[in-house]
Amino acid sequence: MADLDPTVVAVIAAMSVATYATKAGGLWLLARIELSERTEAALDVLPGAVVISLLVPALSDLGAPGLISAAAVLVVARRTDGVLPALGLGMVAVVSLRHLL
Amino acid sequence: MVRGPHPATGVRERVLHRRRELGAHDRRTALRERRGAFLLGSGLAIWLFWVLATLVGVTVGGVVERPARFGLDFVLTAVFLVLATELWEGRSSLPAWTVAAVTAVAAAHWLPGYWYVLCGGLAGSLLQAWWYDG
Repeated sequence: MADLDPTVVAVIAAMSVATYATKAGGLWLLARIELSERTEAALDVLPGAVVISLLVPALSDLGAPGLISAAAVLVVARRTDGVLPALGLGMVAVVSLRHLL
Repeated sequence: MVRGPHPATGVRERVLHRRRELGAHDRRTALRERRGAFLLGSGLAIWLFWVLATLVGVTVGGVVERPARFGLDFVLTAVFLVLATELWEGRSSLPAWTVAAVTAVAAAHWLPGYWYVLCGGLAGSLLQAWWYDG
């Protein structure tokens, strides 16, 4: 095992504190604050909006094989409700399309 | 007096029976304790798998010289695509998602690093708050 760099250990420890604080802090706050329905609606769409924000710029870098495979993943994920079939098909599709196109 | 459930009945029946026995306050406390145990247990399971998978990646991941050859560079995108289908709530999601997508692409172009994730998410969420009509 490689030697542990104290800086790395400190960063990991600090990040774990930061991660816990954001999670526990959110729960702590929500237990004390009455949210308006408007705020709740905004919070409800937040996860989807974050996923889309991660996805769309990544998709635009993929090129045709990636985009076609992405469409295939979407179709399989909606039809089967299964994560693994969608991922498997996506990988097979992207590898073969890169060879073909 | 309420008779106790048969010892062989399932966890659910036993919990229901216990809930019936408890007062409203105790019931809430019991439920919270069960949730805490569930959270801790599932958290530990996920953490263990995460660390093991990272170890595998660090030790033998270097064997794969060009991950793109096996479509491994596409995995993360595919995971987020599946996540997106699960988060899609029908047409009501469309305005916020569109704004998030446009903002994210623009921010990815103009801002360094991963600010585009924050910008897109916030923009979609704010739009939903602004459009909310009860």
